[in-house]
Amino acid sequence: MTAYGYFVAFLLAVITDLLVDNVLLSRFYGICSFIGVGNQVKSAVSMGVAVTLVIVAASALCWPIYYFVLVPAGLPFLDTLVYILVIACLVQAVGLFIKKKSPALYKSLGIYLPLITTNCAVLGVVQSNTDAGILAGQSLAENFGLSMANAIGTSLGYLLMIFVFACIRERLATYPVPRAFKGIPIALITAALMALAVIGLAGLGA
Amino acid sequence: MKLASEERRRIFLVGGALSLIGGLSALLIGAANLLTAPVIAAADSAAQETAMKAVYGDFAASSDPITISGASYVSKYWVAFDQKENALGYIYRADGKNKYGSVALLVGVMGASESPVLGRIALISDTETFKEKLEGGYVDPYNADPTSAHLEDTTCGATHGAALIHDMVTEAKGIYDGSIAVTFADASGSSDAPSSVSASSSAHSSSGGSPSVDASAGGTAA
Amino acid sequence: MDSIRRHPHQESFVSGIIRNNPLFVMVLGTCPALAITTSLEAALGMGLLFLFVLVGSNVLISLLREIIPDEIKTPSYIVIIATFVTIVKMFCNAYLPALYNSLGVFLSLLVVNCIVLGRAEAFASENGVFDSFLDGLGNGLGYTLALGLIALLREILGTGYLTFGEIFAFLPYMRLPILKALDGSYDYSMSLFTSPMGGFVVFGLLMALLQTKNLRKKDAARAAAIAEAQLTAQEGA
Repeated sequence: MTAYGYFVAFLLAVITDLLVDNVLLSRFYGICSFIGVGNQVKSAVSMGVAVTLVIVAASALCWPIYYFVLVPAGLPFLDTLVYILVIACLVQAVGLFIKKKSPALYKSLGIYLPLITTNCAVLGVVQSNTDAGILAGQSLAENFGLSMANAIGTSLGYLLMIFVFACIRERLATYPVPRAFKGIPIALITAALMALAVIGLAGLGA
Repeated sequence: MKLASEERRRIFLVGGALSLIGGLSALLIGAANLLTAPVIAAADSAAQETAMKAVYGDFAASSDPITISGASYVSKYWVAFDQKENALGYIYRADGKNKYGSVALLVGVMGASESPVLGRIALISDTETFKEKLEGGYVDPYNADPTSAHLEDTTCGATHGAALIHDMVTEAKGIYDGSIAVTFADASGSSDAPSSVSASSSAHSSSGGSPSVDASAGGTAA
Repeated sequence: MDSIRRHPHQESFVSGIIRNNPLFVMVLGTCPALAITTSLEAALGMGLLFLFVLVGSNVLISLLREIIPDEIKTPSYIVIIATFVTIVKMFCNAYLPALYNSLGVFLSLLVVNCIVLGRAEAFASENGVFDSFLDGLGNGLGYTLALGLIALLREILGTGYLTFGEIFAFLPYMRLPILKALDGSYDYSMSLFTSPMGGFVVFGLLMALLQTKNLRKKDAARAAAIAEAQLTAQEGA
């Protein structure tokens, strides 16, 4: 494959993971933070940006650790433990980075930053990248490229959906929702309708 | 830098607690690994043997796997032997993915290399969305009578999956008769293309006569 | 309720099952609740494994609670929980491979399940071993029941069958035709419910049901308080 072919494949993988196989509405990682983010658009977007940084950095670190440290040492079963420790350290590091670069973003994140460690999306993406193993006829570099495409697509999909969700919930707060549905139930029904929209894209790309 | 004794105590406490937890964790995981690794390995090899038996009814043993690189679906193959250590044919392992899921299968190919004869397909894993239609409408009729006609007819209600399996089996056949150029590497590192096994074309029925082995095929019966 | 308060150990066990149900009341651990619940067997299997992880990590953290310094509290809890998840993964792969294949990545995601970390920090770090054990048992049972309820609804409405024996190999393989006949003569199932949208809908409706019950209780209490205030006002006048 030429360089152009690789680029197109990468872009296609990113878009597939962003929309078709959306991390929140199709794969169901990161739902706890999705529901809990409430109806503040600003904190939702801040959370999405922080999660993006953490997912991309974690994938870039954990994939080499798995294939160049754990597998040669014969310890592939330690992957979960190692990944979660790497993610915990990364969240601290990303927090310090955000504090230095943009104190406003850090303030709007508030208590959500340490919660990113327990965000299923981060560990889910990192773990599923290495769980599948190397397919037939695929080189290590191709697998790494696909993993990074997965990471970038996932985090952008998370950012997009959490932004849309927060906007919808902001409007919903002013509407006369039935008492039984106020709060979390109507949020879940909203998410159901968003998931319905994403189902319509199934089958795009491979 | 001289640390106050209180700080030093603190650091020792933290370090000690960390090593205690790390050691405990390593102990527990190591013990679990010792207990479960043999069970997992045994289950894997039992599953593989069942699948190989589904390809060749007389299957009793196989050679070591020989890796193939350069193919899109096929990753390795074995030579299958029966009870009397006669070669039954080759078994190719192929993995493929389409937009509905992934399929992993073993397919048997035998006969002279110029005119290979297709054997049965044994599905190892099938996460296709239309799994039942694929297996009932395409794989089962093919296995009942493994002719090319059944392979080419991909109308079964799961056309994408059938097309994938068709491509995988065609590739295995192409590797067998040499029309697809790939590189082989067996466990000993030699990369000669082993010569094909000549077998009578009726061998794919489960009670066929034992064909004669014509060539060394890279490995002893496992 | 007085009988329960007299036995403090029972309190930690019983409250985790219904009153403080981790999924429906505390709204924690929702990722598996939407992803694994397309099949009743898989959901119950996940609940069982979750129970092992929760009980194991609660007990170990409670045992070590005096020794762990405050600075490294959260990382230590994470390491201990990850240890138990790895052990449960290995045993599941060995003895229940069908469950392992159907759970996939969500078995590893038990490490970051909010319930496990939450109970560890809120309960096990401050209470004794037996209480932590009971707390883990109660919460695990509650979560399993909640998952089972969602999965029951989704599987029956979505596929029309209740399938047993596919994941737990020791059960005989049975397909109970509820909304769909085995031979296809009638089919009232709606495959919407096995799709991701169905998961959100079932979960949302169950939460709305629970909220209705709570609101009714609150309304009744408020009506009773108003009636009582009116009565005392009348007596005062």
